[in-house]
Amino acid sequence: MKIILCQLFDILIYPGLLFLFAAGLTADWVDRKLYARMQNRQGPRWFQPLADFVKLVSKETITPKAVDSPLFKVLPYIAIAAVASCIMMIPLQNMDALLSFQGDLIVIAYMLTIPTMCLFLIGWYSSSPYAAVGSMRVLTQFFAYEVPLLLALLGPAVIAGSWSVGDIAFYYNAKPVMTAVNIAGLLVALIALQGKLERVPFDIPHAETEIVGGVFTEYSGKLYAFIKLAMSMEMIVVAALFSAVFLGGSLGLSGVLGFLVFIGKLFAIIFISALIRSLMARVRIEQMINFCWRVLTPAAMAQLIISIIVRAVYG
Amino acid sequence: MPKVIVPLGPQHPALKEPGNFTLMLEGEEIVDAALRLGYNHRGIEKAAESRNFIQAMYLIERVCGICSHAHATCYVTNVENICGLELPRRAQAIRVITGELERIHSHLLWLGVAAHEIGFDTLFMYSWRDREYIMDALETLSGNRVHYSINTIGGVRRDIGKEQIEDILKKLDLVESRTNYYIKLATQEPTLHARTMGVGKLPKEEALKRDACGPLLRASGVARDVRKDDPYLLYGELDFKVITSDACDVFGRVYVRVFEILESVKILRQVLNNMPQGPVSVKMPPKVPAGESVTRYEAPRGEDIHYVKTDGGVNPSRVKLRAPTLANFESVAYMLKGDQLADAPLIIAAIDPCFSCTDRMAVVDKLSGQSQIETFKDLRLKSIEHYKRKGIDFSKL
Amino acid sequence: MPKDFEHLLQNIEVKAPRRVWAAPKAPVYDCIGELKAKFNFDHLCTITGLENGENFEILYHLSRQNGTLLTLRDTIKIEGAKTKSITPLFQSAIWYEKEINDLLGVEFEGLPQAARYPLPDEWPQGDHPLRKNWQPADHCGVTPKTEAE
Repeated sequence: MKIILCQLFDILIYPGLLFLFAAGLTADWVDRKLYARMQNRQGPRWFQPLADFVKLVSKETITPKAVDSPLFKVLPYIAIAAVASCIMMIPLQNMDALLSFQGDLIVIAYMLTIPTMCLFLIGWYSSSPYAAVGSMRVLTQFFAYEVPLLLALLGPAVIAGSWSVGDIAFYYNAKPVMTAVNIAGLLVALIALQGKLERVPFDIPHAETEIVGGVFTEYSGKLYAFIKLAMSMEMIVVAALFSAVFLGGSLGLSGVLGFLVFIGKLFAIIFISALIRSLMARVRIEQMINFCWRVLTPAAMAQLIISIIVRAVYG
Repeated sequence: MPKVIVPLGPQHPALKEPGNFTLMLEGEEIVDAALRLGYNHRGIEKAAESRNFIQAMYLIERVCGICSHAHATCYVTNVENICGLELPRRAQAIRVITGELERIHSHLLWLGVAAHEIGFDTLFMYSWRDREYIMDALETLSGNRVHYSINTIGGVRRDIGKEQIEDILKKLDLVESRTNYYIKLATQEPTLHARTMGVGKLPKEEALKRDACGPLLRASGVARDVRKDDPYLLYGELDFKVITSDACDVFGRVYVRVFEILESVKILRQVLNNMPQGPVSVKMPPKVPAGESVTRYEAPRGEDIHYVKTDGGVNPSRVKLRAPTLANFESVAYMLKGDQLADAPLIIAAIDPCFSCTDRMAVVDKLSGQSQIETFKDLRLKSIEHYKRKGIDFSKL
Repeated sequence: MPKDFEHLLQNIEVKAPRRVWAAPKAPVYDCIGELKAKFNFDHLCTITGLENGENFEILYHLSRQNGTLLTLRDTIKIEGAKTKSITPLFQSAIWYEKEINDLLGVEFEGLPQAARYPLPDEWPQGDHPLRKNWQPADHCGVTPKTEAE
């Protein structure tokens, strides 16, 4: 009985849905506030993302007549489920994740592609020209950033000699110097992250001045609120993953202190993401692909080779 | 790959005003573009015929919210020509000041809009903040931020004082330093380069063939500027350069506009530091004689041309105006073909379009593969039906 | 300078510096063609259409680099108003001619048929708002109130 209650707590409250919901909205606010301050604006107040969410949920959900697939209504929830499952495998305030096994890094990487696939299908089933163009762009962009992102995540795993996120974080706590080896990998991952979360300069799939809302064009009300929420949650999950894989997680601390360290790293990553967002213009899709394959991928490969050499010499 | 038809407008985030560009896409490439205008035809030319000369002036000022002074000055000059009025030099100077301030604020506005089209919102926010200095300067000068209404037939409505001159000069220093910063930014920011260079090519011959005007034409390497070719007001005596660029693309248009801001600052300093003395207006004759006149004016977006015909009555018998956007419209169709969808908003924005000036009634396009037009009537009936299904009846309203 | 044009134009008037007004001697299309080819009037500013009581006047505003603005006045009858389109000479004329076609009802021969400008597609044929005798009657019949009744 107690075990079941504990598991329910894990799934629903912390680090499950409720925590992710709160953290996602907070991350959304921090991102919007930073972005606004960098643009010489005031920015929203802390409850704005929550207010937006509540408002959207209370609005009428309009389903276009041309949409005939039940997937249109199910996909936002699949995206949220995929993102929320990932958080179970990432160590948060201490060194242990709820679910930890060899190869969970690869599982997370794959689970995180599910929201992207959802976005593609959302656009595909919306039967709107804007959404169709948007979903084509989602897929094209996906093939460009996913390779450097995966290669960048492999670097730390190679050095640590483990495919488990927990083990990698543990290894970096024992040998903090090794984090420096992966700086280039972290940069590659941060840039690829902009593609994954569809933020400037890679917000091509929903470039509003070209294709209105992109894949979200036909979404409204509750469904739109949840798909937005999935994107905010994904930001938290990816930031948590980066802090565990590249930055050594909670630095061996546990409890409240460990939690604070974790949150600090999370927001540092969000800060960098907001900085990139405010300093650049949106690139075109073919420029994005060229950049990813000609610059990011070779950089990630070089990082991987360095990691292997470092592992062979010092490991 | 199947062809996709993407409608850009009449309501679209990239367009501030209603216009319709139906783009035929093959993948991301635009293979054909059909243009449709007229969504916002307000019948100003007809309305002016039923108003007296002063009323018509205020009406025509409202053709556009950005280049309101351009249209008003153009019209007023026509009426003054017909009456045979000699405009005092001080009034001319004040019109030049308003006109050049308007040019700076229009170009800064354009820079922000263009930046927004390519997703560079930070530049958008910055340039619009700096535009506020100019808006404030215009407010000190005329009392209004948007429709300055500084003109009156025979001169200007308000004189300019010493403090106002100093105030405007101070703001110009600020704007000049900010503009220099934007020039640095435009030449160094790689993503900005990637999005503007080689985009929306309009070679010199094509621009001339299509009678393009304003910064669009000058960015194709043709030094045509009404202020130089056909000087009006004090422009014949002022020292300024016509900025041109041989780039023939969107980057060239950014270049031309940003450097034109600096030229305008130069013009403003010359005028403000040597203000002619004397009255600011002469009396308008009680009756406007029969006659006709045509005036050109270099508005921020290009050449603006007005024609006024009078028949000796209290109202003008015909007022014709042509805003620069209409002249540049043929070039847009040319530039869109063969470019990427991602570039379409930027190419359209690069002519600094002002459809509402150009049109001077509403159709809603609903495109799902095929074009189908619904009228207001259809839409209204549909919405009533929709809410009836939900249990709410709006048909009595 | 006006003398150069005498074989082409009549009633030449110079009302102000750089402002020339004239009427064509030959058909207006040929006249504009020659002005463009031989006298460098390579920029069409706009075309104005107006009704002067008995006739329609089509004013072609042409300019050249040195700032001269030539206004060519072509007078045509209101009944079955028809003239040759100058779009082969000036591509931008397409919009100006469409506008005159819609607002005054002058037919331009050779004007490419495409979407109309500036009136909406459901606007009744043969109803031209810029004519002097036009009354704003029930043309705007799509107002919500009339629909409800």
